[in-house]
Amino acid sequence: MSMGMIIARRLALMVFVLFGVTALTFLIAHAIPGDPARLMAGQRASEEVVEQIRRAHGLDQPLPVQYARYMANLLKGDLGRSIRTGRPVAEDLARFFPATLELVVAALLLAVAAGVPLGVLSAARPNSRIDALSRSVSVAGVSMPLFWLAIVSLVVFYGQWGVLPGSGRVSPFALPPRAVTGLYLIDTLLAGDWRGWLDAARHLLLPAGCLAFVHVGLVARQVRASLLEVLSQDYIRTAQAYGVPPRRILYRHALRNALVPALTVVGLAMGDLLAGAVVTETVFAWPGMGSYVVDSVASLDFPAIMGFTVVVAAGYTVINLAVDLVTLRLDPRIRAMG
Amino acid sequence: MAGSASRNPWLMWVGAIMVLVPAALSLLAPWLAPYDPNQVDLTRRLLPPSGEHWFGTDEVGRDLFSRVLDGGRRSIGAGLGVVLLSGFTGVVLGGLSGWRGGKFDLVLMRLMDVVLAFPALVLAMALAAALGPGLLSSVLAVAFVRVPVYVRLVRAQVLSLREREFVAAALTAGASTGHVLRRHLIPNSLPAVLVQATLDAGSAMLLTATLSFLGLGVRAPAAEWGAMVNSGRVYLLDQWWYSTLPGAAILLTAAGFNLLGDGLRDRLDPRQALGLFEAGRSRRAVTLPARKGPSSHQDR
Repeated sequence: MSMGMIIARRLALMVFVLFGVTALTFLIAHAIPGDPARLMAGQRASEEVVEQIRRAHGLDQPLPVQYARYMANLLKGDLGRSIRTGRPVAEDLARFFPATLELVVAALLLAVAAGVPLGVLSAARPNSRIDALSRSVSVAGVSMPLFWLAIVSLVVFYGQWGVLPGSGRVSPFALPPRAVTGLYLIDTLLAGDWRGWLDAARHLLLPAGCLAFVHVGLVARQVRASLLEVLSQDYIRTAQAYGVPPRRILYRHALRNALVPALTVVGLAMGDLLAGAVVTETVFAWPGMGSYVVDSVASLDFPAIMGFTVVVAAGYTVINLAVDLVTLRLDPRIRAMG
Repeated sequence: MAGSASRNPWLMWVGAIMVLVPAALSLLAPWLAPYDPNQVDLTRRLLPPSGEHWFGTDEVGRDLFSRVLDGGRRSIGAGLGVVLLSGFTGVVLGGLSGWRGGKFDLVLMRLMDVVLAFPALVLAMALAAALGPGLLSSVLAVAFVRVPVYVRLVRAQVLSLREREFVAAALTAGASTGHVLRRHLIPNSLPAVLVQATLDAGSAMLLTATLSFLGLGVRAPAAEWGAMVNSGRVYLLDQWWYSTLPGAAILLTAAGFNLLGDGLRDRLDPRQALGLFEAGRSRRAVTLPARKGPSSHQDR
C-alpha cells in the first residue's frame, strides 16, 4: 500500500472516531442523567422554569434531532454555556488552555529528559543497578496515585523544606506576564523579565515534576527494550567487528533507530498527561482546564464537563494520528506492513 | 515489552503479599479495627499518630487506622469489581466478535476504538458525573472504560485459537458454536484474561480512588482511601498523616497488583497481556518491526 493510501485510511478512521467521540459524549450528557433541563435549572427551580428551559434548549425534541443540533453547534465551536460561570464553555476552556499546555509540555519534556538517559544506561548495562533502578521507577510510576504523589511532594518541598512554592503559576502579588502565548515561561522571556521567568519556573517545577514522574519509568523501559533489540542486529555486530568503539556504536548507530518506538510511547503519553493534569492542577491550584473541570464536576455543570471531555478526546485523537504519521515517516519498515 | 518488571520470581510473591495482607486486613476490619470507623468524637480532633490512635484521628475525631482498614474494603473491592465487570463483558463480547467476525465484529471494534479515544480518567469522570456521584457509579464508569482492553484481548485469542486443530475437530464432531465457544475458545483464553485482570486491578483501583479523590466516589461518611486523601488535603501542612497514610495504602496495594500481574504474565502468558499504559492503544507502531534474533531473551 502506498504511503498516501495509508494516510488517507488513517484520516478516514480518525474522522469516524471523532464522530463517535461526539456521539458518545452527547449520549452521556443527554441519555443517562434523569433530566438535563432540571440540572440546568438547578434543584430548586419550579416545574415551569424547567419546562421553559427544556423547550428553549430543544430538550423536548427526539434525541437524533438534538444530536444534529449539538453537532451543528460543535462545528461552529459552540460547546454550550457553563452553568457555573455563565460564560460559553469554549471561551472558558480557551482561557485555561495555555496553563494546561504549559504544564503538560513541561511534564513531557521532564519525562523524556529523565527517561531517555535512564533507558539508555539500563540498556547499556542490562541487569545492573541502574537497570534495577529504572525497573523500580517504572513499577512505582504505574502504581502511584498521582494525587498522592502531588500531595506528598507538596508536604515535603513546600511544607517541610519551603524550597518551592506550593500553588498557582506566579507568586502572590506578582503580576503575570503580558499575555502573548499564555505560556508564562515564554511570555516572561519575551518580556526579558528574568525574575519573572524564574518565578514561573519555580511554580511549574512541582506540578510538572509529579506529572512527569509517572511516565519516566515508562519511557525508560521503552527506550531500554528497543535499544536492546537494535543492539542485537547484524549491522551493530558489523560495526563491532570493524572495531568501532562501543560508546560510538551506542550513540551513533543504535540510539537513533531505537528512539522511534520510544517516540510512540512519548506521544501516546500526552493523553495520560492531559488526564493527569486534572489531578495535578487540583492539588497545586494550577489555573488550567483540569482545575476548571474539577470545579465543574463539583457543581455538576454538565455543559462544562462535556465540553472538556469532547475537547480533550478530540485533541488526544489528533495527537495519536500525528504520532502514527511521524512514526510512519521515520520507520520505513512499518510502511511495508500497512 | 516495556514495563515487564519481574526478572526475579520472588517479586511475584512480594506482590501477592502486598495484595493479600491489605485485603485480609480490610476484610477482617470489623474484628481488627480498634474503633468504630464512623465513631465521631469531637474532643479528639486531628490527633497525631500515637499508641492509642496509630494513624491519628480526623477532623471529627474518627480513628484513622480503623478508617483505613474499613476503607480498604471499598477501595480494593472497587478495583476487583471493575475487573470482574469489565473482564466478564469483555470475554463475552470479545469471544462473539472473534468467532462471528463480519459486521458484528467490525461495528464492535470501531465502537471500542471510540471508547479508547478518550483518556481513561476523562471519560470515567464524565460518566461518573452523569451517573451521579457514588461508589457504584464510579465502579461502573471505570469498568466501561476498561471493557475494550478485554474485548480486544479475547478477540485476538479467539482468532488465533479457532485455527487450531482441536477446534476443527470439535466442529467436525458436530459441536455447536456455543459449545465450542464455551468449552474450548473462552476457557483457553482465560489465562491471558487473568493476567490482564491482575495487572488491571491495580490501575482500576487507582482510577476509582482518583474519582473518589475528585469527589465522584463514595458518599460521606463511608471510608474510602481516595476520599480520605481528599478530605485530609485541607489539613495537609499541619496534619500530614491524615492524607498520606491512606494514600500509601493505595500505592502499596496497587504496586502489589502490578508485581503480581507482571509475575503471572511472565509465567503463564509471556506475550499477550498489555501493561497498564500500553493497553488498548494502537500498538501497531510499537510492535510491528518483527522481533528476530536473540533480542527477546535479553529483553526478558
